Amino acid sequence: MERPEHPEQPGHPELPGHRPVSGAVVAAGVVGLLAVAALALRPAEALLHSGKGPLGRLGIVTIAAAVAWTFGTMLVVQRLRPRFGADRMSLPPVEERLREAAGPLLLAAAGAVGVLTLVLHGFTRDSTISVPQPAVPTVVPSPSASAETVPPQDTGDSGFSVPLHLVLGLLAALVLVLVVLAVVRRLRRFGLRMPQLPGPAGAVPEDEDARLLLSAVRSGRRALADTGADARAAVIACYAAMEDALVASGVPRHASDSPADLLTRTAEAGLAPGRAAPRLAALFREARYSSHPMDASHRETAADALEEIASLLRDRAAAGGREPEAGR
Amino acid sequence: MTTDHPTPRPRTAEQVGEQARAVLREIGRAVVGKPDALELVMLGVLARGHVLVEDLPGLGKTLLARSFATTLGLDFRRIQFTPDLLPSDVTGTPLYDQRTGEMVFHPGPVFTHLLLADEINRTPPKTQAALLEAMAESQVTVDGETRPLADPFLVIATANPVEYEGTYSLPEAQLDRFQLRVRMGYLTAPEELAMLRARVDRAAPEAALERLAGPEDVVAWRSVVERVEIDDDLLEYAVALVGATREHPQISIGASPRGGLALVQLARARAVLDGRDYVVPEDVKSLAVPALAHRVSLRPELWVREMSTDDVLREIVDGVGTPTTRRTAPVPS
Repeated sequence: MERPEHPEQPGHPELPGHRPVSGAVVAAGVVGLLAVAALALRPAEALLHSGKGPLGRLGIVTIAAAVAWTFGTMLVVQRLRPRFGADRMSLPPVEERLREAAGPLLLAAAGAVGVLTLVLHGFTRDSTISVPQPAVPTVVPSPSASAETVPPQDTGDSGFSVPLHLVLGLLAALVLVLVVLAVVRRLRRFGLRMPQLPGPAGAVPEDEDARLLLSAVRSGRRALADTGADARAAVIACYAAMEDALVASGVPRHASDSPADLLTRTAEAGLAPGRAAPRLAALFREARYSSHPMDASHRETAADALEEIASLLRDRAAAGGREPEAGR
Repeated sequence: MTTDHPTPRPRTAEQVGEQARAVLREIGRAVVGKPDALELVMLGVLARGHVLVEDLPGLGKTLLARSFATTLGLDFRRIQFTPDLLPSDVTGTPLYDQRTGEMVFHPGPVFTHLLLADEINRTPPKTQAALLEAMAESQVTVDGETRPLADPFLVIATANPVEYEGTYSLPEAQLDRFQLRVRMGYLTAPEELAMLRARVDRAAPEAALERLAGPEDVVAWRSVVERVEIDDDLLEYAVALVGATREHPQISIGASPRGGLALVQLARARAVLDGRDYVVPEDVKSLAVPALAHRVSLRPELWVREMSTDDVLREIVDGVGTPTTRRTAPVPS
């Protein structure tokens, strides 16, 4: 299979004024940087053993190197991502999956290497601020000169400085936030909906729901009165006011809801029962989606539906033991 | 063919809706417990479309097609698709007439009002493609001569989605020519019991259905559908649904513009079936899955997860916003 030359492909997004760099050069550069970093930061002891390398004697150098490595690599990976996504259709499924996994794996690996660099480094209390002392023999060979014995230096394995704790904590928090954001973004991409916080009206008592709905019914009546001779606008405004009231009562209109969906959810919530709400919705559909002439009879029908809803709500509130304010 | 019914040709959506619902009730005597599937097929009839009925064997797919032909008074032909079926077996072929000494065209089964293409995925693509021109343009071309088909012309094709041995998947181009895909599904236990009881009581294999309409009625119904109005906001909603199939991460090939046309036409047909001459959001929303699901291709990794295009389309429908409550443009009263 012919391998595509991604950067030279027509239509491939390139920054103006930037000469595309070949993948081989990037790979060689990354490997070289890794080698230098490994030599500079390698511990004196075995691999995965805390300790210092030649540059690691300065703690600030280690921290700076870890941060620069992490963010530099992430930057490079982000810039390379468009290449991962190019020519998807020409790859077999296994390579396609590898290609999809490359971006997240490289990002995670960059973060992990940065954190491991800090964790495995043998920090001393003063390593972040002081120049290391030259090597001094710890024991004078002559037993007679024991008084001149220099006390052994702290190897640094025993503790961390407070600023270092702070830096590590901030880094850990940053990594955690990035991971959570990445996971949430990926889940959303695959259609998982985040749980919604209950609305402020969700916790209000039942009679409060009725009061809110009654207030919306009143606003619908005002809309019927305010729109003058335009019966179509009056019916639509009336339905919209009822919709707003349902939102306030804890029955939100989702963006993908049709009027029928909203009515179904309203009925399930026990609000606006009866046949008035479907009648009002039918009027709304005709007013909103047809060019049928709308006259005073439609307006009156909408007003009657509103009255019926208000009456049902009053009955419902009365059955609940409290007479709400009449919707006049 | 002319209908012998004295009833006047309906001219309003309400009249057409009433007649179409009467047809559905009559067919419901034979095809028990499948009102949704019957309604979808009727929408295909009203919207000048072709219907793909995809489900397991024994669920009444063939009975459904035959019942529609009987009740609508349409000429009915059936092709049992097999691996050795030839394109000329579908379209017809010229034969030598010894008496006249001329080649005479013998029309194939496609020259009918309602064609049942039974188990269409059992024949190779070459023969499947013989239906393409007929379905898209209501005409066939044999030996360089183009012959128009009957009006109305409707293909109801059945396909068995679970068998792979000895079957040929329908090409995307041909799937796109079906206006909607219908799934029958199993009956519930009470419905199955009622079906068995009805069979025992009538003492005959199938219910005898009454003819309630004719080809001219179907043509008249279709002209009423063409007069159904649809608001610009609803057209934008349909475009948004089709566009969402092209941008969804789990779909590799989204719906074609033909999918949008089918969705809108089916929505208008649903409005007529409901007795309205205008489309509402429920029409578009309820038909997005049957009109679009068979036109999209899922990404390969979803095949092993046994996700269906219906599932992904439902997710899209739940994510695309319907028109806002208030109009974006004023309409004169």
